[in-house]
Formats: sequence, C-alpha cells, structure tokens
Amino acid sequence: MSPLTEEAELLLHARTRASSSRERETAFAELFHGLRSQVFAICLHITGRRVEAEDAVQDCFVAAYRGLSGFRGDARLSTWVYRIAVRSALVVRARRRPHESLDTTVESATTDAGPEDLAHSRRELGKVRAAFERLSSEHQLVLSLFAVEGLGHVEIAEVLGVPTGTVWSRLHLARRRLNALLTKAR
Amino acid sequence: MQDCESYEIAIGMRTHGALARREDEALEAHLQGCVACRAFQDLAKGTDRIMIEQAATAMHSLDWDALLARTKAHLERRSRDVTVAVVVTCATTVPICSLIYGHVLAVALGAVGSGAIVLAVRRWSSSRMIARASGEASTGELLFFYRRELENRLDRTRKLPLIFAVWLPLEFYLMRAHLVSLQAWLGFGAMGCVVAAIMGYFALVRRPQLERELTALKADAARE
Repeated sequence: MSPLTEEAELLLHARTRASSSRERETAFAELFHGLRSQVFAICLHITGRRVEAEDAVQDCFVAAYRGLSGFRGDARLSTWVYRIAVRSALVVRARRRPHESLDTTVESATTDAGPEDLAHSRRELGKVRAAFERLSSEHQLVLSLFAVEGLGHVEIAEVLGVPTGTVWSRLHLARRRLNALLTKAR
Repeated sequence: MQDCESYEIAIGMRTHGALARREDEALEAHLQGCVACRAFQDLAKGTDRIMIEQAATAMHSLDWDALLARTKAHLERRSRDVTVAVVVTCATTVPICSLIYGHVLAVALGAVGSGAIVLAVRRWSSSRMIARASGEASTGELLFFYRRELENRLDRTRKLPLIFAVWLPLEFYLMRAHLVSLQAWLGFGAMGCVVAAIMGYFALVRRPQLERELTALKADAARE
C-alpha cells in the first residue's frame, strides 16, 4: 500500500494545480515527504549506489513536478511517480561510467552493531549486489520493486505495465536466477 | 519438479501476502517435506532482508530536507534556464537580423518568434519526457522505450552533418544573391559560428555520450 491514501493523493494533485505558487510548493513538499522513502528505495535498488539514488530521486521529483499538469489520473498519483522513479534510476544508471566499483558500504543504523557484524553485513551485501548486477534489467526491476516496503504486487504490476500473473512469474524467474548466482558464489 | 516450480512461485506470493488461506496451508505442508523449496525460501528471504536493510541504513543517514532543497533548487534552475535561453536567443537574433535585414520591426518580431520557438520546444521536449517516463504509451517495457529513444536520438545526431551540409550552400547562395553588403557577410559569419558551435557540441560531446549509454543498455540486454 502507498503511504498516501487515494483521497490524499487526489487532494495533493488538485493543490499542485492551484494558482498560488506557495500552495503549489507546499503541496509539492507534501508529495515529496509522502513518497520519498519508496522512491529512494526504488532508486537505490536499481542503481546500487546512494549518491546515484539521491540524483535519481531528485530527477524523479523534478520530472513529476513538471509533469503534474499533464497527469490525467489514469493511474494513482503514487504509481505514476514510482514509474518516473524507475525511469530516472535507469537513466542515472545508464550514465554510469564503466568499471566503476559498486557501493557496498553499510553504515550502522543502530549503535549496538559491532565491527564484526558490520563486516559480515558488508560482505553479504557485496555478494548480493554482485549477483544482482549480473541479472537482466527486467529481473533487476522486479526484484527492486518487491524489495521496497509498502509496495504491493498490484501496484508493482501497474508500475511495470504488466498483468499481476506476469509479475509473479517474473519475480520467480528473477529469484531463481539470483539464487543460482549466489549459490555459485558461495 | 513442475510442482516445486509452482510452490516456488507461491513462496513469492506468500511473502507479499497474496496467498489465500488454503493455498498457504498447502504451501506450508509442501515446505515441511521439501528441502529444495525450503532452501529457496530461505535464500529469497535473506536476499530481501539484505536489500531492505541496505535501503533502511542508507535512509537512516539521509538528509531529506537537503535533498528536497536540492530538488527545489534544480526546479528553479531549470525555469531560470528557460528564461536565459529565451533572452539569449532574442539577444543574438536582434543584432544578427538587424545586420542582415535592417528593419527594426522585423527584428522585434523575429526576436519574439524565436523566443516563442524556444519555449515551445522546451515545453514539447519536457512533455514528451514525462509522457514516456510515466508510461502513458507503455507496453510495460521501460527499457525497450529507453533504448529506442536513445537510438532515435543517436540517429538524429548522425543526421546533423547532412542537414548542415544542405543548409550551408543554401544559406551561402541566398546571402550572395540578395545581400552583398559587408554587414550581411558579418551576419552570415556570426550565424555560421553559432551553427558550427552547435555541430561541434553534438559531434564531440553528445554523440559519444549517447553511444556509451546505448552500448551499456545493449550489454544489459545481452546478459538476459
């Protein structure tokens, strides 16, 4: 489920079309705060790097703001923004120079994580990211979206523009391939 | 094996709460006796956990306010860029046109017209970008769209020298046939410099960049 309710999204959309620029800015800030976590997670999973994810989030919200007047309401506002996020992340990733190393830096979210735990997490993340990078883009996309908290399979199907059945089969194939790569690496 | 495949799909569905109670029980019963499916489930859960943790830790130290401020600044910069583009186009059109044609009114009309063209082009490219990004014409294959867009852009970039080759003698002929003053030649030279600068940018910067992006995408597709 999206963090914003459908009514809240409709209201936000109406406010972003208000004549007052202050009202538009406030509505945009609320949209940013409402969807930022999901958008950032999508961008981070696709790009694999925090800095690139931040750039993609920025591009996504800039594109969303500029395109809000043309949003027709065929899908939910959040779904529309997630689609833009996927695309922004793909564009940022495509601009990456070859041979750049992956960002597998894991910071301690809690103070009780010791250096050994941190090193272990870093190794695990490194393995997963290395395997993930070897997947096809289609598989990367579906895994990235399913690893975002608060994103349901119906919404993911809408973001990808495919039926829900296809989403499940695609997720299964992606998991299978990822598991095979991880098993091979271990 | 066929059964295991359908249970593996069901494992993904259960993780995301899409299984009915009866299906869930059937899956649980299968998992009790199938080591391979249990291993599949554990590995899938582990991968999900790692990815979610990575996002959570990255978000933990993220300065959201700074990111919002950056986004707003970017938006402001973009709208300022449009204004600058209009002003620069008008400012270059006015002296060049006045050198060539010598009529102030025509120059002013030309300036307004060129400003409108810049705005229209910006608006059109922006709406096209949004339409594609939001997938309004989507078949769901975002990558396919992106690749096609890149190929189109590259194609246009490759055609530019041809357009330039056609434009140059035509412009030269017109200038020679209708305007023989020194001012006209100066205007022609200035126009030529602007076009040459645009051509140089596309040939030396934009085209290699597009080719790099396309190669990366093709390598991606080849891995499938």
